Amino acid sequence: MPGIARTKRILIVDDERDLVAPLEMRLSASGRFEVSSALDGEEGLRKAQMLRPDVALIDLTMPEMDGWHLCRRLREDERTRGTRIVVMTAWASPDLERRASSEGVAKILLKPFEVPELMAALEGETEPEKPEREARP
Amino acid sequence: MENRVRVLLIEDDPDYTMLMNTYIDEACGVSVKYVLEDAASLQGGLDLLAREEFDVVLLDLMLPDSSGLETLDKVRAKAPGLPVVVLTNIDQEDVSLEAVAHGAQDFLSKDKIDARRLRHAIGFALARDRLFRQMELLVDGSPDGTLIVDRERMVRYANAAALALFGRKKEQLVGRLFEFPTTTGKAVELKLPGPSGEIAAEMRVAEIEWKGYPAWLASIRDVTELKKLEEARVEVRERTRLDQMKDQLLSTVAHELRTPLSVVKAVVGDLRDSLAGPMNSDQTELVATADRNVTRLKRLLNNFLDLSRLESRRARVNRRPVDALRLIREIADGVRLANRGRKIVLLYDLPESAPEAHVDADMIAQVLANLLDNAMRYAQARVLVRAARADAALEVSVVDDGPGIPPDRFADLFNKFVQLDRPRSGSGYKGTGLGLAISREILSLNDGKIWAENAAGRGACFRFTLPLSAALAERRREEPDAGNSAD
Repeated sequence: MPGIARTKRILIVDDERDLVAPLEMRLSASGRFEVSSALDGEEGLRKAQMLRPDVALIDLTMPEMDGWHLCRRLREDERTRGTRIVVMTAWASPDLERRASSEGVAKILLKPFEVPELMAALEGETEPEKPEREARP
Repeated sequence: MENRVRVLLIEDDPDYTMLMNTYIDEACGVSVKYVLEDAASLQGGLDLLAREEFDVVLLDLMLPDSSGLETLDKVRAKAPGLPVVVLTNIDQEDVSLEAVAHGAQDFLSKDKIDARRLRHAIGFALARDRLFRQMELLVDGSPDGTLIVDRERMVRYANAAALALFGRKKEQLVGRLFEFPTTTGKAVELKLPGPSGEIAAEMRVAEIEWKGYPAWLASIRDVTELKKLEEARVEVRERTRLDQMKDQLLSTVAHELRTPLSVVKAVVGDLRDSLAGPMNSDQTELVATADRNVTRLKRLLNNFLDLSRLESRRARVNRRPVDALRLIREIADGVRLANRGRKIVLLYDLPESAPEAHVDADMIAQVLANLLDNAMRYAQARVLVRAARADAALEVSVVDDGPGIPPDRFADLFNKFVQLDRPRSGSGYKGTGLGLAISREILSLNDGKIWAENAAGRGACFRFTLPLSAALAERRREEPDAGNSAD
């Protein structure tokens, strides 16, 4: 029932400013999300504690506090324990999924991802079967 | 037949010669007969040696016309290889030993001779001589080069293999200075000019005693072939290492490219969907082109990373029983949907049912998608998917009615970045050149095979096999150790 659902608070945490901007534009334009962003882990943690977002969209590779570290801090803090965590990464390592599930990550997005994948991950829906198979002409 | 031993006695004392004749007669036995001839001077002895055949020489070193070791040397020079027993006086112990070192087989002290001792000395000399010859034959016939070098660095002996290795005649080597280091203990490498290119040889040197004097024994082995082999091995190892480094680098680059690509993708997507404001038709068309190519780049990177994961065997293979017919229909339906609007029909020719295949379903789905995608691109009007049981496997084939595969391309069809010339243009869709390489790796990880042929009539036909679960279980029962790890 997405039509009557309240807008979700989303916090994007990625040091890649160039990616954060178009993502914010996309998500805000959908009208389904209230979007904030942070450009590093520390800022992400502060904003998360303050805003208590429904979903945190976190890049794994960041300087200083990386994505994994931030995930742990969010899990440890009772203010952010309920936040759904979606991580983004360009590196698909063999143990990525195992580690993600042990860190309480709800969904992994492999960069570059498709809009429907992103939306499904943020909404917490089961995504459409295999969006990777992109034979669209 | 009795064994005759012809003995030459060179002795100037006639009494002693007579005595020796007596001993010789006494020494004769049933099996051995001794025949003695005698000479009273060296010259007389040498004359006899020139005229007649002897088996052994009994030699007094002190003769009217020669004395000392010189006597021995002259006899040996006249009859090389003939065993000599030196007859000595009681005060000549040193000379006797030296004589043996100089090549005499033995010595007899004149005052101690009797028939028995004489027989023993002659027998011993003959036996020693035989043994010595045998050893020489052994060394001479050895496939390794053997040299004896004295302490003056003079070559004293060289066997046939050594002559061949150095490419010299005996007189060019023996009696000349040895020009290589005689370092004992460790192998030394020699470079020798061979008739057909340089010979690499390995020389080992040991200290020995040669005819009573310290000398070096050099053993030389041709290691040219061995070295070539070793060099090839090192080269292969180095190439493999470089290859791995290159693969690692390419994989890192491919991963790194995904981050900027995700930015471009997001930006182009926002533009395409007019999130940054409305666009006119020219802008829309340009952005659509950018979008298509971002997708293409993404596919290329993903395929590349898939392949490198598969090749390095890092890919997780999750094999379980799979309804292959259902999988084929699912994937084919997806491809059909993606190609709606094109005038190419995708047909099945599948059996009612088939036993389950034992494969990683996602991987096989990728193979099917690749092959169907290819077929749709090359087909004129029709693509056909078939499946049929073949022995312990399910054989799946994808047939198109396109131009087929040029005969000279079969060999490298499944190699990386190999693409056939496309018959059509303008669709904007281009392959990555990795699909077939990925498919081959996937099938190899799943105990299947893939190959291509030209269809009867026209078009290409790609076939692959999937192992059946039942056949696998049967094989496991037969050979319980053949564990097929499904990781």
